[in-house]
Amino acid sequence: MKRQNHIWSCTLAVVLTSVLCFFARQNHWLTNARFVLHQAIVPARAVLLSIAPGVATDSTAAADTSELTSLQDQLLENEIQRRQLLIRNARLRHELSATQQQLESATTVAAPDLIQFVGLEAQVLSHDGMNKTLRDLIIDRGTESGLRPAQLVLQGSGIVLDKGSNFRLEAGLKVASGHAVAGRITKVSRWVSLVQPVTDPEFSAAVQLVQSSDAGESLGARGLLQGAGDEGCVVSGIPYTESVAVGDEVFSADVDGINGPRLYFGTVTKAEFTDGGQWNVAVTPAIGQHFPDRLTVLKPKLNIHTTARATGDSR
Amino acid sequence: MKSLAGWLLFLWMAVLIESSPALAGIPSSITGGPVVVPAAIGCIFWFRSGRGILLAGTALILHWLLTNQVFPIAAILVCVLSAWCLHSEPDADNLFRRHWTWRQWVQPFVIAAVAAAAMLIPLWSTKAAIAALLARTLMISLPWMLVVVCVLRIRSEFDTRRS
Repeated sequence: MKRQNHIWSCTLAVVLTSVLCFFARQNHWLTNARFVLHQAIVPARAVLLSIAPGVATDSTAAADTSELTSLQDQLLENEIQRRQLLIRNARLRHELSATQQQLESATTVAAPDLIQFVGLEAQVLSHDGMNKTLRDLIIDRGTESGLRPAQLVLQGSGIVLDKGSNFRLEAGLKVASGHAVAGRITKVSRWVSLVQPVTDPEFSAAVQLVQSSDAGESLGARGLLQGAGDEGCVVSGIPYTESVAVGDEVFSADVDGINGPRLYFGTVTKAEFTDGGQWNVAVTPAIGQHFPDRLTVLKPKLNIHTTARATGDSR
Repeated sequence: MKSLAGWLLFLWMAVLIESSPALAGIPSSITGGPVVVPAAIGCIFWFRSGRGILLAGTALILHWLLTNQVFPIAAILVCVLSAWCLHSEPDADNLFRRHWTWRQWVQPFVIAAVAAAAMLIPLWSTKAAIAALLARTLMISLPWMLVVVCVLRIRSEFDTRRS
């Protein structure tokens, strides 16, 4: 009985010690002790290896040999690649310095761009065409100035801006809020203009996707954005070979056919294949249903100073 | 005293070998203590006293500290199960009889297998790998346990009891 009690008390001591050690290790109190233990067995391991070198080599020889050969091959390959890159790097440096010398010898003159885009701020008068009050007001004032009602009134639905042909606005100009596209001017009268929103089924624009990754942003596929009513917009014409993902940003490919500032349309919210082997991409527009009170009409403008200088030079 | 020193050295070597898997050709993925656990069980059944349990328990805790096991389950399980086995045998000299019962043959293997399985519990999320790992551990553990049990049997055969 005494022996059994002794056995159980020793067992209890081991169990308690184990539990205590567990909590100590969980709280990182044994880190130093473990480090010392590992250090202590290093010489013993070395002695064991020296006594029985065959034990380690025999059992793991095959695996070690194949791994070693593979590592050596990789090392050799890396070394070759490193040397090739060194040569290429040196050649590129040489080309760069040569180009820099050429640039230094040539005179660089900064000249203004021929085409500049200017923004004309306009106030939103109405979100759904010209109502009766607005129409009557404009007709009364226009008639006094000798204008015909046809020059003053715009038929149709859409957003009405308080700028018209008096500010040289014309149909086709893009309307934005900041850098986000709101729509396009479709009709212009003397003092007001009508804007077709991006969600209008008749709206279309050339767009390009911009994809974000860890490496940064990159330009993606080009396509045609079309309004889809309450569902926002869709982008068509992107072949299946292109990469499209939900979350891609949609920017304008050009502004009225001219390479200009990249305007933002919205975000890709759905992308799926169609039977025709193309992507069907749904886009949630940045400005869909709710328009701000003030919008900006983007107009391409020919830089007069540049043309004048060019004319003078030719004389 | 001689046997105590001998077991100390033996357990230390077992811990040393298992903490350096390459020495014994044990894949590093084997975490079931295939060398230390049978050695600890042999120590307990050699001494059949509290001293053996303390010695084996210390070796298993040391082994746990040197490896990356989550919980020292082997130390607890081996000591408790062995103590229970020893407790169920009222005759202290039972081991040293010439004829062993089947229980005496089987007990060390069962404890070794249970301990090996318990040490794989933290890997429960990878159920598919557990069976393979257990098989690999037992492939080393059970033959090694057989060697230790044979030593115990030879000892009882020759009745070389420690003084």
